Amino acid sequence: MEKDITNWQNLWKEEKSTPLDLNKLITHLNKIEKKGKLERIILLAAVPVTIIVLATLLPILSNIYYLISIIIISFGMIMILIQSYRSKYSLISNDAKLNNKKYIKNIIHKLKQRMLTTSRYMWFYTFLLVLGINIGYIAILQKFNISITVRIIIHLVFTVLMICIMYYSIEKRKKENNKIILPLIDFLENLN
Amino acid sequence: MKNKEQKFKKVYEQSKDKIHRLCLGFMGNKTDADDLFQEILIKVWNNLNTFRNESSIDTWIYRITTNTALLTLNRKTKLNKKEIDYQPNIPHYEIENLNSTDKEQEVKKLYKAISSLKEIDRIIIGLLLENCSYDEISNITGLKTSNVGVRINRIKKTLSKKLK
Repeated sequence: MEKDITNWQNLWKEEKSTPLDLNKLITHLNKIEKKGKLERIILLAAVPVTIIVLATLLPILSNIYYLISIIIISFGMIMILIQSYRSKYSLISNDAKLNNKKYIKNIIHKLKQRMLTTSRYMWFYTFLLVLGINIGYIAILQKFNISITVRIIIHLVFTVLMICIMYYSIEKRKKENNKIILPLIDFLENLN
Repeated sequence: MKNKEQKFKKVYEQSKDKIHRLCLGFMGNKTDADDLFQEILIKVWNNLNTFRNESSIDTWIYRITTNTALLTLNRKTKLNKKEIDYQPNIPHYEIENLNSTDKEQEVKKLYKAISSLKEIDRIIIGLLLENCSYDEISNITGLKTSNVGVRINRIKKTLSKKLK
């Protein structure tokens, strides 16, 4: 058996890599790195930029309803962004730190987190979004001379509409997850 | 940035053949192995800042290689299933090359046999053939050293059968 191993080792080491243009490769890697950094900056800047834009365009500070509305929606956005950031970008640094077993476990955990973002956090976000926008609408509708019944109907129609839109997009994302993430989790769990 | 580039060049020169062999042993065909090789180089570049000189460069590079391989394989398997309808994905080592020597044929046969093993077994035998000790293999795979020994014996028997 030991002779076999030595023989296989000699055959194994016959294979050599094809030469690469290393300078061209480094230029390419630098480009990928810059693109990745930019993506992360955009993702991190999205919330504060949105808040600043809204604060500039809307008189949020002069109206308590607008202010509460913006705070609730921002909280929801931050929550989703943190979840997405955790499950997507933090994968990079673990490639060399973890052994195969821990790496697989870690990836499975992150994939499950991503599934959870769709199934649980997105609904929580929907709730915050509907709540936030409805609070904002209280202030908007106060400016019009309409009865309380009509106002309630407007709130209800808007709420149902928002829930339907979010339900459609969450279900769509769930289907995509079931098609891509579930088989990957299954594959990783069966590696032994 | 220049420092990073120098470091990358050094790691590349030192490890390119090892990475290439592990990729080929894992994927079983040149095209997929080349794709995996490139993906690993990207990860090496991204992880370069996490490498500390006091730890073994080999363990560091093997972890990146094997972790990336495990994650890539699922994607490749799915892609190949899709491609098979209109374009048969012929493994590199199934193409009979009339000009290749006996030794080349033996090398091809070995890599083909290794790529037909279970995923973790491919990694274990690849690392063993790269002269890694049982402890190093245990450190990279996360399996217990005793388990590595048991698996290696089993892999040796399977490979011997396949290569007869």
